[in-house]
Amino acid sequence: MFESVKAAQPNVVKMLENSIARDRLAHAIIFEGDKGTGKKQTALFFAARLLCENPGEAPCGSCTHCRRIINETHPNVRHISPAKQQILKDSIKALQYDFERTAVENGPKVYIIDQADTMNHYAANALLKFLEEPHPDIFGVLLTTNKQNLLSTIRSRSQILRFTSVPKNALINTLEQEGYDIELTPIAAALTNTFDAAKTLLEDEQFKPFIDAVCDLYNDATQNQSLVLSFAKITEDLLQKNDDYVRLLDLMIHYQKDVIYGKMGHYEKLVFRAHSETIAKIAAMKSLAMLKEELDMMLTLRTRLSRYINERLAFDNLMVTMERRLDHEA
Amino acid sequence: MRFEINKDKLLYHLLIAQKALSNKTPNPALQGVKLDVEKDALVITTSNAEISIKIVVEDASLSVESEGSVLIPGKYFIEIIRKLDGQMVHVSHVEDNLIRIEADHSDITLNVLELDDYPNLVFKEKDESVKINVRTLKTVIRQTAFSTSTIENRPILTGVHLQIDGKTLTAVATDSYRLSRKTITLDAEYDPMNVIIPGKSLEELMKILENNQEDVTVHFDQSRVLFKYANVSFLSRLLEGNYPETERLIPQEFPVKITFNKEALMLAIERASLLSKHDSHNAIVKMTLRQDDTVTIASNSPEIGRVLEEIHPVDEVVGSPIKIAFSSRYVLEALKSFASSEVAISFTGETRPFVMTGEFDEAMLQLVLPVKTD
Repeated sequence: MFESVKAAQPNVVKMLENSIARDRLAHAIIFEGDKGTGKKQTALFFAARLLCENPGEAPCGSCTHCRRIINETHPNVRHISPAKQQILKDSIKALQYDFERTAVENGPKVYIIDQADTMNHYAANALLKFLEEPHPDIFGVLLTTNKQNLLSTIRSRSQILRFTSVPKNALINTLEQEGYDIELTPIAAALTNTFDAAKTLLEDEQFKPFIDAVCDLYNDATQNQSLVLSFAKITEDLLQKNDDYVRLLDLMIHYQKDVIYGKMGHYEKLVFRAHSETIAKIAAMKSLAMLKEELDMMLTLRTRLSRYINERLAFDNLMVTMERRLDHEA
Repeated sequence: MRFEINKDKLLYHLLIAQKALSNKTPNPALQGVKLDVEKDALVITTSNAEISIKIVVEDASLSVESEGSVLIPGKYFIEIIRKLDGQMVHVSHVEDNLIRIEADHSDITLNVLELDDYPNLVFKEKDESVKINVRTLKTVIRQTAFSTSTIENRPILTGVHLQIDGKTLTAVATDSYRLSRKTITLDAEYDPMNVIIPGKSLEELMKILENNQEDVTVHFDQSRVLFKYANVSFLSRLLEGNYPETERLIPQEFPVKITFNKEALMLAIERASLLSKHDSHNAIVKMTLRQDDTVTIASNSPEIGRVLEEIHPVDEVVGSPIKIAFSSRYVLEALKSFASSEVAISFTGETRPFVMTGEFDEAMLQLVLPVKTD
C-alpha cells in the first residue's frame, strides 16, 4: 500500500523524508490537494513512517504498528472526520483530552483531520489553541482540498504540502482513447483527478442530465427571460439531495470559468467545448468584473452547501443575481 | 487454544478486568477481553486506553489443553459467563474467528475480534518499585482524589500530583478552589519521583483494592504508572505537563483556630444548605464566630427562607471573632475525608483560605477558599 504513495506523490514524500531526517518536522502539516490525490494514504504513510518498527526506506507495512495504522486502530494515531458535514468542537476536545495524557504506546502521537476545512468556527479555534502550544512528539496532519478555507492563523503555524494532480490533458487523452464521448471527457476530467474516478463519472447515468441542465440554463441566460423560472423548469426532477445541488453547482462553476476564458479569448481552454457559441454570446453580454463576481458568488455558495442551508433559496438568489446583470446590461 | 476453569473463579476475575473495559471507543478492539492462555496460567487483559488491567490467573481448577491468544467481545463474554450453569466452563478457539464456550448444557459460539488491532500495552515492571500498604494507599487516594477538577479547562488539575522525596510521598490534588494534601512515610528511601495521575484512574484503582494488609508495588515511569496488587496489574496513563506550585497557597500562620465535633458540624452545614435554590449540595453558607465563643452557621435564600444553626466548639477557641462564607459542598467533602471525630479549622482572614486538620489524620490537610459576600 505504501509503495503507491511514493509513486503518486514523490515530491511530498521527499519533503516529509527530508524533514524527518533533519528532525525538523512541523507540528502540523497541511496536505492540500484535489480529491483523489492520495492525501489520506499519504497521511497514513507519514504516521507509519514515524511509528514503524523497521522504517528503512519506507514503512514496512507489515509490522504490528503499520498494520494497525492501516486498519486505523493504532492508539497513537487519531482520526477525525466530519460528522454531518462538519467537524465540531467536541472532536477537537476529545483529541486534546487524549494528547494531554502520555502515549498509550511508546512513540510519537499523530492526529489526522480529514476535510479539515469543514471544522466549524469553534473547532478551528480549539485546534488553534492546541497548535499555539505545541507538544513535542505530537504531529497533526490536516487534509483539505483548499487551504484558503482554513484559518489563516492555522495556516501560518503549519507546513503546507501541495499534492499534484494528474495533468488534465493526459487524463482527457486516455479517456478519449478508451472511447468515451469527446464532448463529455473534458468535463469529467475537470471534475476528477484520477482515471478511475473520471470513468465512474462517465458511466454514471445521472451525469449527462446534469450537464444538459447546466447547458440549458446558460442557453436561457442568453435569451431575455427569467432565469429563476427556467432554473425551476430545468431542474424540476433533477435536484433531490444536497449532493445533487453540489454536483450541479460544480458544473456551473466550470461553465462560468469557461465564460471567463471566452471573455479573455482563451477558447482552447474550454471545458464545455461544444458550447463555445453560447459562451461567446454570454461573454459579449457581460463585463469581466461581473463574470468574476458571479463566479465568486458560486464559490461562496459551494462552501455554504456543506452547511445546513436552504439550497433552493440559495440557488434562486444566485439566479436573480445572474439575471439582474443581464437586465442591467440590456 | 483450549482450557477449562472453574466458572466462578473466571467470573470473579473478569469482573475485575471489566473495570477497564470501554463501551464507547473508536477502536473496536478495545471492547474486547484479551485472553492469553499459557502453560499453567490464564492471562486476562482489558484496556480503555486510559487504564489497562492485566490479571494472571493461576488457579488449581485451571487445566490448559493448548496455548494461544484470542480477543473476545467483552460485554457478551462476561454476560455469558455470568449466566452459565454448572461448575466448570470450557473455552476453546475452534476456527480462525470463532470461540466456543461449553458448560453444563450450554454450547455457545462467539465471533472473536481482530487480535492484530489490540494495542501493545506495556506492563513492564521496573527494578525499583515503591511498596505501599493497601490501606495506606487507599487512604491517600480517598483523601485527595475528590479534590481533582472535573472540568477539562485545565487538564493538569484533573490529576493527583504524587511526589516522592527520600522516604516521604506527598499527594496533592486541587481544582483551584480547594486543595487536599496527604503525606505518608515510606518503608525505605526511593529515588525522587514526580508524576500526575488522572483522578479517574485512581478512583478505578480504589474499586479493585481490597481492605487487607497486603502491599501494592508501584512502578513509576515517565509515561505511565503500574500498580501491582496480588495477581492484578493496573496500568494508567499520566497527565503531561507541570503541576502548579501549591505549597505557597497554604497559609502558615493562623490567628483563629476552632475545633469542632465533625459529625455535628457536618449536620449543621447540611441543614444550612437545604434551602439552596440550585441544589442542596452546593449552597453558600456563612460561619460566624461570636464574641462569646459560640459559632453560628447560617444561610439565607430570600425566596425560600433562612436557616440559623448554633454549634459549640469542642475545645477552647483561639482568636478573635470572624465571619466567613464558603461553599457547603467543598467543606462537606473535605470533612468526609477525615477519620478523626474532631476536626480543627484554622483561619487566617475572611478572604484567605482556611485549613482543616484532624488529630488522627496524620500529615493530611484540607484547604478551602472562602466565598466573598458583602
